[in-house]
Amino acid sequence: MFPQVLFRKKQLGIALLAACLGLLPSSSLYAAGKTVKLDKSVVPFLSEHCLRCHGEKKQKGNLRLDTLQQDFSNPLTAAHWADVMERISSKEMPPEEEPHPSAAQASKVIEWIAVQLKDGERARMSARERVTFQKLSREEYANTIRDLLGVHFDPADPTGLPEDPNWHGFERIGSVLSLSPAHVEKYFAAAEAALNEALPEAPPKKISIHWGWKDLRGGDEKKAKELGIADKVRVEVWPGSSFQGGEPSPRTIQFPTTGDYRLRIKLSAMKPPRGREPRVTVYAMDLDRLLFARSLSTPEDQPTILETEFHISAGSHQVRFLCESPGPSILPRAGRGDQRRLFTTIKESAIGRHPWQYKLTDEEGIPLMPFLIVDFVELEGPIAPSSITEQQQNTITSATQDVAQATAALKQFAGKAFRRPAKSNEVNRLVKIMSDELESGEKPESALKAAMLATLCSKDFIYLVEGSKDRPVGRVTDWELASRLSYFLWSTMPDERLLGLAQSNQLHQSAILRSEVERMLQDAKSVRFATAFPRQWLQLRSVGMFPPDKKIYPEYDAHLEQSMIAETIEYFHEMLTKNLRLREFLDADWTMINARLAEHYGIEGVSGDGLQKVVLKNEDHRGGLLTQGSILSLTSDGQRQRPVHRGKWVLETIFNKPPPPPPANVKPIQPTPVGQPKATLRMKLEAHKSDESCASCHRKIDPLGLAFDNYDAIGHWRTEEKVKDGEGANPKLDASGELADGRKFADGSELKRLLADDEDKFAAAFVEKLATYALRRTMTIDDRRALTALVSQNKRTGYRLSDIVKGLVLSDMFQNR
Amino acid sequence: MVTPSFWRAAVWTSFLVVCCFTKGAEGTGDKSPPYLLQPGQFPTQDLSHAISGELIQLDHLNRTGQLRPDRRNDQRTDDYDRPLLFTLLPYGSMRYHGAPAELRDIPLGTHLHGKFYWDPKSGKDGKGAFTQAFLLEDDFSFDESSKCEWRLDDVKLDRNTISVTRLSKAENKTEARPVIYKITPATRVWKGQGFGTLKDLATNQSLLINLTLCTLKGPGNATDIWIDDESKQIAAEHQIAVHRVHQKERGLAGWIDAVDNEKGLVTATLFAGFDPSLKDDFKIKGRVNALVSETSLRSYDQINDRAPSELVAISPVPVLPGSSGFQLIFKPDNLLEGFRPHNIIRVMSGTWPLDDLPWEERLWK
Repeated sequence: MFPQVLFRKKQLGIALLAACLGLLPSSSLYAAGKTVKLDKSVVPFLSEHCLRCHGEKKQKGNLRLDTLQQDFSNPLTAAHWADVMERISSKEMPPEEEPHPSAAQASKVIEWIAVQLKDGERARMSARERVTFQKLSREEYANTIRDLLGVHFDPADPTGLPEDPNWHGFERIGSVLSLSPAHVEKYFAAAEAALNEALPEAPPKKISIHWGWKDLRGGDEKKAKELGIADKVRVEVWPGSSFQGGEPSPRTIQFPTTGDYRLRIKLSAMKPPRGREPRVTVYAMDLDRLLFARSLSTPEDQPTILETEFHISAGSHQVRFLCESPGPSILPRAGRGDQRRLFTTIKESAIGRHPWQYKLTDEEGIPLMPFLIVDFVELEGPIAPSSITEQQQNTITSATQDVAQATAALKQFAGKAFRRPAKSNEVNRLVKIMSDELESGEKPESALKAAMLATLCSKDFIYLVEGSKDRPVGRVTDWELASRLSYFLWSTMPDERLLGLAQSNQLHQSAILRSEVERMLQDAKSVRFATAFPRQWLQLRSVGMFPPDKKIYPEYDAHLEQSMIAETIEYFHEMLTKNLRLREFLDADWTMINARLAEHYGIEGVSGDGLQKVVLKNEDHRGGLLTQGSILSLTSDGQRQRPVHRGKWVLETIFNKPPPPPPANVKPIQPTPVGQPKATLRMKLEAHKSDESCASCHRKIDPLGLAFDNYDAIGHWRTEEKVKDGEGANPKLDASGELADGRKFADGSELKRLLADDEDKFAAAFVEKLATYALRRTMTIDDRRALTALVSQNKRTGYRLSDIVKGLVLSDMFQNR
Repeated sequence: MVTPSFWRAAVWTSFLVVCCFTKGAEGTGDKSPPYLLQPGQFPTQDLSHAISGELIQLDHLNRTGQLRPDRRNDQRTDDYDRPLLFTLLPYGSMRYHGAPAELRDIPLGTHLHGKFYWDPKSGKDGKGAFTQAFLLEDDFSFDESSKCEWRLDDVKLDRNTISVTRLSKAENKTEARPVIYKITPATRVWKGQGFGTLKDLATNQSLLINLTLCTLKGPGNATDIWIDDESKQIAAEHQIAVHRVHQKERGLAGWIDAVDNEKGLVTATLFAGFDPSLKDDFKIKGRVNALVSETSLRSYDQINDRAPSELVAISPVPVLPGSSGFQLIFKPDNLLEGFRPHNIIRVMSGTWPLDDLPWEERLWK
């Protein structure tokens, strides 16, 4: 019977989703038909170099430029112009036998077309229907499920939801977040799993596991007993080794029920005097999910108990317990523990340690490398199979008693799920689903869950819906405003207070809205904004996309990568909570680092795994986003720094002025010929851009990247570039340059100061990025006035981050559609 | 007519004279307490105790064996021939045919001259004995290192004897009265590049002689006689080649003087007892493989357990007994647990072939 029910439910969900898909935005465009005037520089260029073959008399290649539309929001037209740009840029056109334009002339035309293409793209993406549907990102979906049902949902798990596509890093752009039919079943399965966990039909099966030394490592228990040390044996875990004592292979754990599990590990963590703290990681390999990570050190005789809780789905999972610290390779047997030896204490065990093993401690028993000494691992759970509140549970229980109560319960549930009062026809439809289920013989609880499942598969839950046929433009409703605000700052559904203010139609009042923003920014949930926005704005998900070459950067590991990302996010969080000036994003004398990152930056006096605010000195060569490891890494390729990428990133992310795309026929940088002196990347680039048409763009891009050549591909400070090709010593780095406006700088520090002096430009760019995130759409020319007003409004106070966030929420732009 | 009793008397007298060539031999009446070796230190001077005897058992893997000591006239007859169980010190060495050797190179029955140190825990009732072998060498090597040879005074093939007188080459004079050794059809005569026969023996030849059955039934039986310089040289060259191969396959033994854990540097002094030309294979900044070893000089599994290292420095150090005077400082890619002061290691030049040792030699099973 169950499969039939499941099938029926699946059909129901798919039908609902299909219905909602039918309501997705069509291809009709808000800005369609808008044309732009050809720039003054373009008209003579086209007449002189193009129209002879692509004009009234001749249309070579079936292309006529004098009648080509200038509506760049039309994708077909944009494609034609992109083709024109590409051919001029690659010098394919004009052909060789025709007179050629100067590089400056060509460059001007290319830039003009590139700007128009960008604006056209924005216009297309920001097109608004009478009713706008903006899908929740998968992170928002998971947060909403947690707040609605009280259960965790892990969207990144293989059984979760597909990764959200992004537009220049932003993962919330409504026109980009689509729902393909192939993913419909994923949403159905996600909703069903969440409901089953929240409302289990039977008491959940639990597990309680205790692994001692025998279970973790194995060994001769009989011998241990004979020696009288059976209760003293511990497990030494070498760096890079799993608790089992070898390659980081996982343990298969059978989790009987989806839910939250509690993990406890008792251990001592041995830190070498001048080395790193050992790092414990627990990683679900089949889910590609880090369940727990902590760097710590403890005295050998004072073990500590690490405790964590994590949510995991029912089933068999491969969980790896690892001492993730730098050390020798564990591949030879010398680099790992041996179960034939019984470890008790460093001093006692040193006697029995194999002489051919790598040296773990010195003659005094002081660690030479970070390692762990584990006593046990315990796992129990699910500890809270359903976090649904008692009140909710009672409501659901009573709802199964009669139709009136069921209707009331579903109305309440759908209202919360839709983030607005459920309409009677919507409630009736849900009640009918429940009735149909009851009629087909389902138990009342099952029938109610079917109706709730339909709610969670509804377009009004999966999408943020704004507008109506009667109200295509203008102010958003208080309900819509509550959702906008909540998803902007909390990445989840509005709480009771916001919904209450919406209900009483007060939320839009400036004073109330201001106090709500302040309340929300002080709430712990605002950390989601402080995490998600910088991650998307700065495109932090690209960190580690090209894993650094282990031979060139052996010190790079997952912990360093996580610490780099954490620094940038925590930096933003500090800026937000302290309401600091935007210029501190560009140049500052502080940062947020932990011991791992401090070691990477060569800053002394920082201990512990937690990020802490550190005051920087000039000789630290850090301060601001541009010298943070995360940014320097994401603009590199794993082998070497990429000055052009770095420059492009600054233009695009900091100043919102992306350069035109490079032509398709760019030749790769050639290695230094044999016998020639070693050359820095800068020297090679200089030779590379001898072509004047390339140089015109690179003059604007390259200085912004070359200024940070003192930082290698993982953000490590250096004064010379390690070069393989060529003869002689490694060349010294030159980070000096000149901005497009003629201002000169000697190195990255001076450039940072110059950029920070351009506070107005950066503020304008930042506000546009923030508005893109908040409004889930690209900004167009129509938004320019509101954006400029917001920038001007904050200039007086020096562009303070929290003030800008509040100003944005209080602006018409945020409250209108 | 010489009677058998005369022979016996003559032989014994000659033997006792020979015994006295070795310094501090048992029975010399020296009652001073025996010198005790200090762990991890070479003896500051040669204070060993000389004992000669015939190799009657050997365990070449663990560098142990037994000698049947030569009989001495200060012994009670009950103590005659009581086997001496010995263990070669880690820095103890052997010489055979005038060249460095290993125990495996010495045939059972070979008469050896030994230098021993007192082991307070060994011997009868564990009360101590001279069982720690510092040097063992065959008659060939002993005579050569003493710069002595035997002048052949007379050959009596019908009586199976040769009469020889020990000569000091340095002083060009005889050191004792003639000795009569027995020759047998099994006695090998080495001549030029090959074998000779007993008929090649001629008076006034300068011989080197290896013996067996010494003092049991006379001064001893000659097992091998080298009658010319070429044959002596070939014997030495062959043995040195054997030992070079052996050392290259297993590494030169030494012990660790110091470990700098922070810099990852190991300082080790190599033991004596190898062909010095092997030192030329160690170059600063070159690669070496270091193997942790036991006091028996056995290593574990030299393919898997070696520590590839960079040779950082080579320093000459004072040549104490047992030391080669050759000190290396190397930086292993990874320090090993056994790299602790006073521990024994073997070091192979990175240019030497690296291969598995036979199963029985490896400590790793």
